[in-house]
Amino acid sequence: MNEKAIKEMANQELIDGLLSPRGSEMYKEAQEAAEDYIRMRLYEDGFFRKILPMRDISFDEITDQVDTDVPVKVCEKEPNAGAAYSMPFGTMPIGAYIKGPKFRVMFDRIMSKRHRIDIDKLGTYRMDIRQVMEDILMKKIQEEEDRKMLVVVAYIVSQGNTQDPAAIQAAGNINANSWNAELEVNQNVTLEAMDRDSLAEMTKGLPSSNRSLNPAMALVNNITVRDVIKLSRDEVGGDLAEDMFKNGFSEQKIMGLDWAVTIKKKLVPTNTIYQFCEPRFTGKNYALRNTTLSSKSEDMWIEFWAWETIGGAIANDAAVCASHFAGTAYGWDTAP
Amino acid sequence: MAGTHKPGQMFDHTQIELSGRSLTYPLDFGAPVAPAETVLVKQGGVCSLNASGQMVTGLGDGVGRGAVDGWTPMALIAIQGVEEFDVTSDYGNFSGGVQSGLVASGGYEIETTEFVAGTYLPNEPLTFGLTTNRGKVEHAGAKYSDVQVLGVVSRAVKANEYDKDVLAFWSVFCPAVNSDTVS
Repeated sequence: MNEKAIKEMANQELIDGLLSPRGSEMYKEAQEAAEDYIRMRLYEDGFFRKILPMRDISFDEITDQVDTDVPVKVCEKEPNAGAAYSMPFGTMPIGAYIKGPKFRVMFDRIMSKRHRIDIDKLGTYRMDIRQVMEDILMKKIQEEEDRKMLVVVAYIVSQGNTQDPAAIQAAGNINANSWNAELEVNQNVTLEAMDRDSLAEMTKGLPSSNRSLNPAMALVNNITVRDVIKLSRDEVGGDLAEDMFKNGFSEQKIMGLDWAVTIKKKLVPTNTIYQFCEPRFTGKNYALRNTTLSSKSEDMWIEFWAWETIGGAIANDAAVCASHFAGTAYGWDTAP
Repeated sequence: MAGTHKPGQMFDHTQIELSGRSLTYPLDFGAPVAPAETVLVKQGGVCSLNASGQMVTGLGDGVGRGAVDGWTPMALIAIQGVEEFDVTSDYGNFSGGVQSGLVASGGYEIETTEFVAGTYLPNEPLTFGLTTNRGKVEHAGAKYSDVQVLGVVSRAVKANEYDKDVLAFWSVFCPAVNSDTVS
């Protein structure tokens, strides 16, 4: 058998392997033989699902609507009660009616592009380009989830001034313009350059509102987090400083917060840290159809794409805030 | 007075592709809704892209047209209305932000509730409404070359199964080549 024939046969085996059922021996062999390629960039799992864990729901939990057949789920918020008061003896309390707030979670779809290739062109790749592309598509889906979440967060902390996460540091969106009169707090402020003091100041953001919530998670990009690594032994504590010096920053607890580190610098600008409360204080996140990979093989074409139907909402404005380590501190509770 | 409110229904504004749509390969297009848009297109209505690639209601002079005079925006027939929940969601929701439409240059026969009331005859060219009729299709009222045509009537107005008047047309893209405006 000449070299050309062997090569053609190998290609055919790769194609057969890749077309065989996922998990089968033939598929695995094809996969192992096809992982020798240069990676060009780093992809990551999304932070969206870390901050607000996603729960799979079925149509049984959907709240039917009269005016639309788009899926909606109605959720409830904690009710409030008026202040208690002091009275002399011989009286009874004045009346109050119980009204619990509700909110709607609305759904839409996130899709990848539909990727296709002629099987005879697929055969010229030694790597398992289909598997590689599928992995990338899943990451891209999660990237869109992250973007959509931060659009909402940017809108909340800028008091409706921007829906662009990249514009969160713009002058019109921070400090005095971030004052939330209902919560009596700023939600997007500048702080001094990062050190122990400014990090501690950052954690005052959520508790400063009149809902007094505690932060549970910080979201930071992979550049800003290196400033955390710079913090010295007496700033973050001996063992932690040493560990970060040796191993860099791994996602761990600092100042009582879990830290999510992202490489998506366009979504989380450098020198910016977002803080979030625990999910039970923050909102809901549902997958009506969790991420699915659809693939189709027809004649000489193979095509595949990823999609999902999800819905979620930040139901509590007081559960998010943003800080920018810009060198000039602005108070969380400084009213404009 | 009891029992006077009629809630909206999902069939109040509709766009149905009678034929021409491939279920999995339609010629459709999605884009963010222009934030400044004040006239909200309904399902089945006419929309187009502004110079920023955002969806605006209707098309023609004064409606976010292309950056160069003489450019003729492509009409899109809205698959969703702007106010539908998968386009515009409640405060705090992550969903929405993008609206989609069928591209008028595609080979579709479309039935819509969004047309200017009147009598339409088969083969009559249709254009887009302006001012108070923005977002609707209406009589072209001129020769093909003098007005932008986005559809040709295929079936006269009739009441559909929900007693809503609908007009069916074949989508086309025919710019007003004799005119330097698109209205």
